[in-house]
Amino acid sequence: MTAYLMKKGISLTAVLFLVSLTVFSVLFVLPGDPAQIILGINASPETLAALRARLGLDQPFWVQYGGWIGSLLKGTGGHSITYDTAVFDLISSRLAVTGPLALMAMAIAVALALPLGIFAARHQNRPGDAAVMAGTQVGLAVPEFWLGILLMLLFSVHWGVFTAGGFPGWGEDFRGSLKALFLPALALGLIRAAILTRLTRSSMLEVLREDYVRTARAKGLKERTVVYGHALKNALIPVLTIFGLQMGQLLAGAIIIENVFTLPGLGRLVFQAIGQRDLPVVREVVLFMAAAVVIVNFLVDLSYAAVDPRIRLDGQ
Amino acid sequence: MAMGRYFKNLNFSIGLALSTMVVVMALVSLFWTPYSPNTMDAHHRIEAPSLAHPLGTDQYGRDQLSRVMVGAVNSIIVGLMTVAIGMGAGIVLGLTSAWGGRLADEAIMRFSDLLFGFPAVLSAILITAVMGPSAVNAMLAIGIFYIPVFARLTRASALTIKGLDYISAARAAGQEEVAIIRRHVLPNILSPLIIQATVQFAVAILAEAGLSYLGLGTQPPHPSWGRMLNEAQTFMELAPWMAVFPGMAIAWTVLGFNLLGDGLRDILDPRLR
Amino acid sequence: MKNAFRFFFVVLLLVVVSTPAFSQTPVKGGSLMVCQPAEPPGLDPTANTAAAIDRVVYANIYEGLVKVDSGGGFIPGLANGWTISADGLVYTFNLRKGVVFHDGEAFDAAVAKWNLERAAVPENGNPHPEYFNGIEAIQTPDNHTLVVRLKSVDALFIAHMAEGDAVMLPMQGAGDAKSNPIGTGPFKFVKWVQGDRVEMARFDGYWNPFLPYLDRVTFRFIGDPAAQIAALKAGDIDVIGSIAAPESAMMLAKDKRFKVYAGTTTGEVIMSTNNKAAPFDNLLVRRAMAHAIDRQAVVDLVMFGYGTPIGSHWSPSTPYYEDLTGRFPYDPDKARALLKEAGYPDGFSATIKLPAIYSYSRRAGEVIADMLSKVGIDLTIEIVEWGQWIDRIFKKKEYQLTMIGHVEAWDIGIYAKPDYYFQYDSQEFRDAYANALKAPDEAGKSKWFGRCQEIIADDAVNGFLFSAPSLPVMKVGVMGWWENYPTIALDCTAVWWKQ
Repeated sequence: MTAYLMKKGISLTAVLFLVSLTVFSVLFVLPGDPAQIILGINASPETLAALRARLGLDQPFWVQYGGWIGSLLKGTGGHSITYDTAVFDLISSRLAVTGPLALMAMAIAVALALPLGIFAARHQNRPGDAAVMAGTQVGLAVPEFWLGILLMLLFSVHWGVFTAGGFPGWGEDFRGSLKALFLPALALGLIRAAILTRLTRSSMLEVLREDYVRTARAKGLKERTVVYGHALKNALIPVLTIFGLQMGQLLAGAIIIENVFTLPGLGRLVFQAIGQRDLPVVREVVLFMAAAVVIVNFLVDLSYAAVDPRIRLDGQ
Repeated sequence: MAMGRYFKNLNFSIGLALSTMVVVMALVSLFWTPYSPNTMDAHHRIEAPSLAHPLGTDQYGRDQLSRVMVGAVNSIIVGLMTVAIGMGAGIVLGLTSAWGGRLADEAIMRFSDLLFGFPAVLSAILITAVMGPSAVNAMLAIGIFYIPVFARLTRASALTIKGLDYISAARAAGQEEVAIIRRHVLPNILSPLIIQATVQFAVAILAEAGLSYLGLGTQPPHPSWGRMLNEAQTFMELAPWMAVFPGMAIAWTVLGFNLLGDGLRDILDPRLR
Repeated sequence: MKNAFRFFFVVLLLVVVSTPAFSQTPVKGGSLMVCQPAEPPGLDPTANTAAAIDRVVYANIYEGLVKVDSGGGFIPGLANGWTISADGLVYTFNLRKGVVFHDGEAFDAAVAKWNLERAAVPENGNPHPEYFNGIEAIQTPDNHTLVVRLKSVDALFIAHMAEGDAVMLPMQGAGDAKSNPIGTGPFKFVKWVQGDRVEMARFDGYWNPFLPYLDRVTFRFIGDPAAQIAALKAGDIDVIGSIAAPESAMMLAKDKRFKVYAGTTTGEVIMSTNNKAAPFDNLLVRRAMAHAIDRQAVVDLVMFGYGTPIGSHWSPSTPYYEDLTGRFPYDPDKARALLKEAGYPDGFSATIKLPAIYSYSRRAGEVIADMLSKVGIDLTIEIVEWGQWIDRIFKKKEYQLTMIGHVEAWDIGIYAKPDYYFQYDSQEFRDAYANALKAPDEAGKSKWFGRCQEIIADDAVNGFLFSAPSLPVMKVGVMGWWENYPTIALDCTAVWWKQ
């Protein structure tokens, strides 16, 4: 177990190092001068040069890269050019939107997917199953941002029960903030429910064919006990994998839906920061997102062991 | 192969019907559209669907039906190009991985892990930010993420075949490795690749729509379903129809190709069910 | 004498409150929540050109000798009035009596002299020292008279004295102006919650005893247009200074709770043309394009009808405006004929680069591309990010056509710089502009600024499209808000709530 953790830890660090180097290089060649954007079109060459020097933009690549990694290791991080605050503070304030959004979306997805998936598996090849599967096919085909727009059209424009985008802030208006996240979470959640339902169904079908389930049935246990007591637990393993992957992807993948609903989340932060050439923000948010994905995947691996004692974490 | 087997499969039949309609619509639009898709008309701005404009008009008075039709061409090209990029590079890498020894295998598989782990939307945004927003760059950005998908599939399929007797026999008969791959391996791993390609085709249409929605894909005035939705959002209260039809076109197309892929899998590769 | 003053105030009031709503009597009291998109980088308008600063503090906290009224004219500010000598060199300002700063310091001729001299020294950080360094000498014969002698005639001197760069700061309290502004205006600064809002309260010692009406004014900074509208609908804010999307204006105008003004601004949206890049170096080609553009249709398609077509680089709300929209009427046949004459019988292809951050610019680009395609000019649209726009188009001039709004009033002088990104080089224009700046009287200014407008219109230097509209949206009870946006200001002095 320790050896496994060691090995995983080293490969995680290597991946993050590669990501940091890639992101930094990409941003290094990005056209557009941050100093010019800050100072506007009428700035004199002298003030431009002075600002470039202050931002460290006149240094060679390795010096800039080293300085950045150093500041990360010290735990200070960079300083946002547009917002004039520490990037770490920006990330944590934006995460307070994207994090709950991702959680709500996954909660909606699981709440729909587990019952529907189990239902479909138990009614395999019957009309109920067909209906659920047809629904999931539609769910897979609908772009989530369009679903978001449709929900907005219905709930905000037509019925007026939700505001069309924007976010009041947790401190200002807690209930309003929850409400602001509901429609985007629903859009994200419904699409992911389609994926998870299909997965729950197929994984459930597979487990129901296994010997121990047959044995349990043969012993005369009630169907409910067999399904929920024995089969479900094992059927959940692949579901859990996808859940973890989706959760990690959602932190970054909410970019589009955050734009639809103009939510001040991480995705929108990085999207705007690219346009504003706020390079310290871009590189740290990208690194943070990559780290989130990698670490969530790792946690998923670990949790296998908790769900299924047959899986041992010895790197095999 | 009897075609009857194909049409007995419901997924395949429905999928084929839906996607054929899209392809036909795209082909027709190359020669004829009700109106010129980019011609503006200040007197018929944001008009609701009517006989003259079955899907209504947009904020410039352009005919939405014509734009949805031409948008289909855009989506099909995106699907074809991204799959071509991903499949082309993926097959080469996958075969190298399966045939090229442990080191190449390890390197290629770790590379694909890295790509898999990275949030795709984010990278696509970065790529288009560096290279400039355009349809071609959006296709590249999506296609790159298809490489590991096809590489893994090729590798897995090739490895199962590699150990089979007839490959050893061919080798014993003195055939060159490249010839063996071309004659014996490729034809036998084609089915899973085609199935995967159909599914990725659909995913690419979704991905391009998302990028275009953010303004990073197809550039104006060329119609693209994703960008039409972006423009529609600002006019949601005045012209809700602008937000409905391009999205329906995307869902229709993706549903069609997804079902087609599922159907093909049922028929060609029953083991994968 | 005192009564005479009173009378003057009432007249002034009539001028200031010359909005459509003046049938009712203003009521005192209440607070106003104003929304503007950008948070200012500081609160000292004499230290930074950022428009966000002036919008918050100009005429609210700070005042200059001269003010701009809602129609764009120059009216007395801290000076009751002024006279100009016959040779146009000496300006005698009659300063208001009894004016005090919010911290109790008195405002008099010595303070005014100190402010103008301070602004002329570049080291003091005023971004526009050139507004002031044409001053040769300042005399203060008494406490309330300021005599300014210029080195040479400057037709824009009064205009510059009305800018945010020329507001009066107190000699003691000037140091902290960025974070603790102290002025003579109707509202005094209360606090600035960074990232959210600036609060100000009624100044009881204001020189005009009738103003202001409001007790409190708060400026809230909400960047996102959708969030602004959501906040307005939720009742969190009372006024949006100007909304960016004309379709939102149209939508809110239908809502009975709100009213939308469609006023004018000093900004011109133009299709900037690289006059040195072929084929746009050919006058016939530029004129052909001018004939190929239907300006009213551009306003309808891009701005939903909000906005005024223009024929030159001058907004209808700036003095000395000349209507030149008839110079190149929409005439596609004429355009095709001119193209043929220029040697392009089949038209040509070109690229138009549009800055991604401005939706009006992207939309106008799409509309123009369609219009030009009808006379055989095939435009490829390229959307560029703001950083690239500044770098490649503005600085390196690597472009053929682009689309942008020029917001400053009195900025026609950019056509006198051959290395400006239009690359327009005309001795005739430079002479006319020099004459305009040197014109000692109104007739001369009117003549030569008019001539400037005519020359660039005739040369079709750029595609002159429309004057950008000011679209303030507010609750129906808000009265006295400026309909137009003739200078960078959101003046709340005479705003009141209808009960």
